[in-house]
Amino acid sequence: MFYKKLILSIFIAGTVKAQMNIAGEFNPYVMTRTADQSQIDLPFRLLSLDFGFSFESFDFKTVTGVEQRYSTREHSIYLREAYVAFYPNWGEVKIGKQIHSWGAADAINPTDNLNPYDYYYMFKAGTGKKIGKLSLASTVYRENFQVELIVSPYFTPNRIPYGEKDFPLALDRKPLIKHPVKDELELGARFQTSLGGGDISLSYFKGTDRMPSVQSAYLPITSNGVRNFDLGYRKTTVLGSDFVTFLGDFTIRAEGALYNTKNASINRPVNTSGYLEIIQDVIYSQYVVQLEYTTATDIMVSGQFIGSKTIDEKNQWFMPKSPSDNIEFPVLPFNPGMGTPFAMFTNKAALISSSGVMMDDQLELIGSLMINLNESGSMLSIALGYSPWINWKFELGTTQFNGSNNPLNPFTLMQDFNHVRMGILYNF
Amino acid sequence: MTRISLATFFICVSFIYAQPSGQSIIHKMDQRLKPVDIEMDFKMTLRSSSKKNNRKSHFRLMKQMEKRYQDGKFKSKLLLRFIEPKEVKGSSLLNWDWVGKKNDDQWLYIPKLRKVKRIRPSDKSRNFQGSEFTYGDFMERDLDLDSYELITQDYFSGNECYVVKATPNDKSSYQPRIFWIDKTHYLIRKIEFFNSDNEKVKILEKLDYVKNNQYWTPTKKIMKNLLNGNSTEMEVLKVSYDQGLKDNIFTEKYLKRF
Repeated sequence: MFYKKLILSIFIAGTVKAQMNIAGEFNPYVMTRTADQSQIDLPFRLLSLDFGFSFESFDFKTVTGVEQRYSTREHSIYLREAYVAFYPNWGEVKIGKQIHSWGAADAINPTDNLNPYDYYYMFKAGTGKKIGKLSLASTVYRENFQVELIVSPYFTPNRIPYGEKDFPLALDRKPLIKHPVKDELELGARFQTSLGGGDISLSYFKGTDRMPSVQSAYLPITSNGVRNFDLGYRKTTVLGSDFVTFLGDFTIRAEGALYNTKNASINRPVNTSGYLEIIQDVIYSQYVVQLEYTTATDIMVSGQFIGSKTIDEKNQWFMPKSPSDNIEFPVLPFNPGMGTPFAMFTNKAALISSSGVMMDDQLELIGSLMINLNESGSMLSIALGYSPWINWKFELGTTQFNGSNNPLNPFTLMQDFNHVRMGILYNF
Repeated sequence: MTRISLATFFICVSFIYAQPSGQSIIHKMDQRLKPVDIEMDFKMTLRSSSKKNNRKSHFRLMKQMEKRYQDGKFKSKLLLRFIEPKEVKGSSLLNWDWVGKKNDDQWLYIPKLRKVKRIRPSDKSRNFQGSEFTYGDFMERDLDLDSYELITQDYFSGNECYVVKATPNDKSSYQPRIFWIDKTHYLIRKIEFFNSDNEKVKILEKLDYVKNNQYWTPTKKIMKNLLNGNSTEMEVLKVSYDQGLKDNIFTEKYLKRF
């Protein structure tokens, strides 16, 4: 009650003397499957509303989203961000539900693990694909360096589509988490400094995986191969580094992260007969090297080399009831629970993208091509935005996946998602 | 005959010696009192000559904050922020101009990415957000980077002007420029820009100046692109000087705050 009154008092006091900011975008669109012209039925963000006010060294900011689904005409309103920011002379302090951004590269940031991802919006740029997280963030700025510390008391997993027949990578059903997260505190720190006309940074993050993974199982394996796996979340520590530098007319941005993931402590059942636990200790890396160039006509061309690699993997089953027993149980392939969502497509890819405006900023063209360097597969995305009036834009785009003969290749699976997208964007 | 020749000779000599040099005109222009800091709201109207384009003009509202330094470390710091159109509201550019450093430091903030990006500083010759102005037009260029030559005198917009040619001393993104500097107040009234083929490509006209306290501000300027026929008009809506803008305005922290 006290906190509600306090927040209300701050809000009223703030709105009386403060500068109010209201902005947002209204963006209805439809996606039509290329194969049969049927409509793809997935929820989409119809409205995003930014509301806040600034008062001297304080900001209060909220971002609200309205998500809509055409088939059911259901909509949901949710608070994506709500935080208070204080700007003392030495830096900034932010507290509340917020989205953070780390990393030097565009769109693919292995060092940026502070917020979970919303896989419904995994192809959105910037913060659009992230989920706000309750956290306390503080940054100290000096002329040649900055230090950022982030503490988050609650664990928030990725939002993964399930039961979505129109999203090929969706899970069949909501994953049942048998082992809830115990130690939820997450900690991030980042140091950035200028170096020879560029910037370099080192970062550290310790937290819980955003994607669930197998933590325990029961013997025996059923005759049809179905195993009774119990899901939970591993603990992961990330050491990251990124830099930006300039070479002639080119800008180089690079980013890499080393992840060490271990299974978390879990509550064992009373009866441990046939009960197994996995002992996992895996070190893996993700990296991106980006080269960008802007032409005299303001066309930006960028090439990215994206990769991920499992460096060291300890992955074995353990039977608490008889620890000395050698257990014959299949070792599961390792799946990272943290890192860039694009790692789920491939562990080596090249991404070429270009954007430019013409007709006096009325027409915007964006194109990108991702090529799987490991196995046959590509993703081509072309988007066109036409803006006949200020703050209005008509959007037309297409995304085409091209896979291989391997039905398990994610690019092959995503072929069914090939679509044309049409929409209107109004900024206010 | 000899007397006439001698008289003509002395008149010519005295005329030549009476003319200030290009260098001295530019230095006199530079010595005009400048504010320590300036905060300005301006409207940029982009006009198209294209017949295919149904939107003949569109505008941008921006805020500019600049601070000059005498600390031997920085020459100036500049922050530019978009207010309109809404699609780019909050997008901001921060520039640090160092003493003795060839390249400035530049950062760009894009609200949708919630990220401050360091950008290539030598992009000063690039057009600024689709306008006919370049990023470099918002920043001061060191006087000693160019050589100056008084080429003639002319009238522009009712003002008697010195016409001074500035030629870059080194190979840079800057090409020769010709300045029209009025004789009364030493204010730039017009600049012609040339490309590497010595072809005139752009003309900047500063049509109105207003004197607030002891400072002169060009309140209306037009950049005309002679190659594509497009033009950009920049109109100052509000200007304040020497408010004591704090150093922390020109930081990444403030760049993100809008």
